[in-house]
Amino acid sequence: MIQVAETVASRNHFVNQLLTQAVRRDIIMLLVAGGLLAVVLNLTLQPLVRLRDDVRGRSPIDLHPIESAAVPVDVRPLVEAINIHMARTRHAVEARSRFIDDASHQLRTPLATLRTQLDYALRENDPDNIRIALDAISRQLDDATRRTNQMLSLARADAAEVVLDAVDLQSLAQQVAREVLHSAREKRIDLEFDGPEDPLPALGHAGLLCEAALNLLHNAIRFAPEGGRVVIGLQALPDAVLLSVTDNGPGIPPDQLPRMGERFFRARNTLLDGSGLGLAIARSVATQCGGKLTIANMASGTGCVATLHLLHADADRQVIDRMVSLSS
Amino acid sequence: MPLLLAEDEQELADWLYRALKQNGYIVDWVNDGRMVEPSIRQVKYDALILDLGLPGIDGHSVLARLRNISVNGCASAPMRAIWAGRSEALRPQTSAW
Repeated sequence: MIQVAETVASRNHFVNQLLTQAVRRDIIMLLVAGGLLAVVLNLTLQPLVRLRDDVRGRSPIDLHPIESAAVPVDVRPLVEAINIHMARTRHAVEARSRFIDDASHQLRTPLATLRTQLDYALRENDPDNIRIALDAISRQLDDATRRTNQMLSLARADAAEVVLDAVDLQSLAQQVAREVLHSAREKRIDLEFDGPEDPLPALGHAGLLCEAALNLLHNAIRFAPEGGRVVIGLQALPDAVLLSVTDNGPGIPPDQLPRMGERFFRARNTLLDGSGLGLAIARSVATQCGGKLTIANMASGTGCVATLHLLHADADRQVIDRMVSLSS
Repeated sequence: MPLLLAEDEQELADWLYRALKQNGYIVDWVNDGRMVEPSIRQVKYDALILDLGLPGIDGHSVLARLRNISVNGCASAPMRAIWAGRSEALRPQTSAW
């Protein structure tokens, strides 16, 4: 029989040694793992840090898209969403600065004219000449008021968060026709309606479409000759609803047709005062509603026709989204 | 005293014309930037009223061209340009050329 004995102290020492070794190994493992983790995380987050520095370092007015190719795949959708948001903001900022340019151009000329007219009237002694100047001031003020209103409606049409809805063009055409009846009568213009008797629903925004149609009608009445003819037409095509305004005025020089509808652009054969904003408003409204504005001379040789092309009220959701995104 | 008015806004030009005539000036009016130089070659004007937003050649370019040429001894004549262009319609400035 063999008996092996060990002192308690020696056993305790052995156990302690074992424990110490295990703890030391675990700590080293933990440190190495932690270090590796830090290195990997650092490498992974490096593009995000660069992204942060890039965005922080931008000038406040810099709204260019963030470069999304360099960021990790997981974060890319977020960067793309931010880019879409920035593009929208840029659009709004551009529209606003364009409005300020337009407004200064549109308001300073009538104001300078009013100042000149008023100075003339104040220095003049002949009552007849004073009367002439006062009449001119009154007309100039009407003109400035109309321009201001047009500009504000253009700004509204540009900036409006438009909710598209079914709008009955038949009743809209009647409504705008009633509004211009008086000015048409003053020029002995024959105002005709050419379209169906039944409601004709199109996709759009009632207030904005009304504004667009009114501007087209005002233009037509201005350019039609005394005793002339203006026609409001409605037509339903398979893929569009058309609202057209035709006049028998002088038409537009063919080389200038493509520029019609640009802000402040006025055809060279016009002698009438105008802001050159009427068609721009109609065009902005048309694109906001997912449609377009076209302008053409009549085949007969006299007059022109401005047409709002709109979508059917029951147009496919995908078609609407595509048209609206195309236009913006 | 003959003046040349270069302004394309019909209404503003019309009333500037009346106001200047009311003050005893003889005024010629052109509505296109390209007309300024030929007019200056024909008549010895004492002053030019120039809109900056003229069609044809804009007011700045007209002014630059006039600074570079001497027409009919105009360069030696004490002439001043006053511009009341669209962008500075309410801030008229004067400058010798």
